[in-house]
Amino acid sequence: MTDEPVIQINSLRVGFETDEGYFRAVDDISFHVGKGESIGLVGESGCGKSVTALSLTRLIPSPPGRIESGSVVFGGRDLLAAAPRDLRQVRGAAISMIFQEPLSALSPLHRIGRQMVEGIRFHRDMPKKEAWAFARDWLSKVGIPDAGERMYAYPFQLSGGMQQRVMIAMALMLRPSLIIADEPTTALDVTTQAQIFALIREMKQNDTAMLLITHDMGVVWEMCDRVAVMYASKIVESGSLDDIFSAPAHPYTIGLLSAIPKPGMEKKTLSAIPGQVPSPFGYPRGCNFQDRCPRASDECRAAEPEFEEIAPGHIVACFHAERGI
Amino acid sequence: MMAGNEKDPIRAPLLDVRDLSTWFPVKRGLFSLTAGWVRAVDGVSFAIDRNETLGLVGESGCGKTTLGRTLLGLEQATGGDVLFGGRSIPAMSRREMNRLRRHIQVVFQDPLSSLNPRMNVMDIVTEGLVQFRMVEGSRQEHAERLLGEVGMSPDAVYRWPHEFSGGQRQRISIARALSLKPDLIVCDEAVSALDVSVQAQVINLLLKLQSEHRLSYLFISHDLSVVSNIADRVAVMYLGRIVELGKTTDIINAPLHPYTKMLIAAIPVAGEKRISPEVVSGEAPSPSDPPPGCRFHPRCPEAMSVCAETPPAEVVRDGHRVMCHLFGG
Repeated sequence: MTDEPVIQINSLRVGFETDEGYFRAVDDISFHVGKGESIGLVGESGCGKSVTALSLTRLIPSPPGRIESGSVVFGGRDLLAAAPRDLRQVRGAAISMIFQEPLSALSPLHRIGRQMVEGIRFHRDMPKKEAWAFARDWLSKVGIPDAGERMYAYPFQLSGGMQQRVMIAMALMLRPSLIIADEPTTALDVTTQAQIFALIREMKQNDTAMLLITHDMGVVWEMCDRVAVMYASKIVESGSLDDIFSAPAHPYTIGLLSAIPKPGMEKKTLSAIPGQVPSPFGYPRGCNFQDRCPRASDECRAAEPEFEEIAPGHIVACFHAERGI
Repeated sequence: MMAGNEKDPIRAPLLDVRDLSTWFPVKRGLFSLTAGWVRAVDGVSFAIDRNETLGLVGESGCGKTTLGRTLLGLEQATGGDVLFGGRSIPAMSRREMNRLRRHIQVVFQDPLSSLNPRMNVMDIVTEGLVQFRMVEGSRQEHAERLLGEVGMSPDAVYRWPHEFSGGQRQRISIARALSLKPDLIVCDEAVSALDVSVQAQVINLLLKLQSEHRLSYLFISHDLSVVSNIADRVAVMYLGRIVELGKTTDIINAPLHPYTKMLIAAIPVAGEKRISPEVVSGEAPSPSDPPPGCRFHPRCPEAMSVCAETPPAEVVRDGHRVMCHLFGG
């Protein structure tokens, strides 16, 4: 990517105040998404990937959430410092979101058409009738049969796959420069998921960038150009698809990839990562992965590893990273 | 699936399901008249041997969970028969049924809703033992032994379900299922809610327990990758029917039914060819109004004219069953 990135996240730190005390969910995260690029942010539940996504447009409920520091540069300004009014203009238009549960993202009380028209008219100066036709055309573009009639449907009257198609239409219709998709296919059957993948690929314009949040390496493989792997509030490794899948360097990435069951494997023991993710209230000194890591040494318990570029564009934070040839 | 060997208890399968149906009435109108039926499970036959795992896969709404619940006696079968150890479950009296429950246990998807939040771990894992008067010595000893079997530390006994992570909670559910020394455990999406690294741990635990206790599993899952890793044989369900059943390697490497092929083609596998969009089409129709003929024909890339008219019969070749006109069904 020679162009200026669409979005640049610098040293983002986000925490939450809870009854049990304060914990940091996202710790010093930096990455960028280039024009037209699709980045996958992968990690297991609780690693901070969704909090990262929500923080970009300041959708973290505050309190209890608190964006401690960092900047999110989008369109030449820092969204973390922008006025609420300006942010509302960005959300849903220049940056749109697709969530995992369309039923909780769509209003259950309003018909599909009305919700879409409301979104269009909030951002565009368009007469109601025209907006209605515009929305209907988008419903048919995303493969919803009888779009004219479906405009009058309530979300619960559609299947999960159809609901997600509505979300995609709403996310894409205003030609955003960035789509943030948080587990967009996790609640769907594999067959529907494959159709949604194809739809996003087809509909996304060439210069639209995407940040895809997922726990599923297979989804990343299908949809992304670059990957950032998160573990316990930090990015531990990032690189191109090839870097991550052919030459993973961080022991966590290596462990994660080999723990995935693949169709056609024999009935046999999988190579699991032992132990469990540490509690966010008690992240250890040094590397957060040390307790589960087969390569952990005294060094890992004493200090936090810094990022190192082991190949062009392939960075990893580990003292004992796997190094290619 | 030949019947007729229930008199021979050694050769009979542990579980023999014959033409089982579970329909739910659709009530409408002032007098709640039955306006139709949702045929959630519609004429299903299969068997599970001792020490064997049968994987059951299909999309949401295909009836796989209802099938599991029917075997557990949580739903009433509308037709067909289930033989467990050669004895018919639907023909059992309530007392016999209650005794049987010891032998068939279950692990659900969401341990937080299937573990009582007001019971501590010891009470949860030994409740069944108390119910069946199988406690010898103290409950705590039993609980510690069971926790050890599932790889948990004995000091968990006086802790509560909410104190544990998802993977640990699922271990507690497994310990509870194991407590009565069952023959068969129905695992309904038992690892689906878990993260990959933890999912692998729980799958490994299930494999270990199977070889130690000669357990049989009915492993219900939407995830064919997981199933292929744990099952000896796989049954593929579509709209209430088993459309294909065979050895796991045959199902994955040489699937016959176009639906099975579609399911396999739709799995995203890191490092392999990306899914081509043409391989999948459509959504499963509602089980209350299944299409005539072969239920899969509206989505089938290989559909012929006969498929829209006549339901295919089942064809068996070397133990590999398929219900499709392409194979002369």
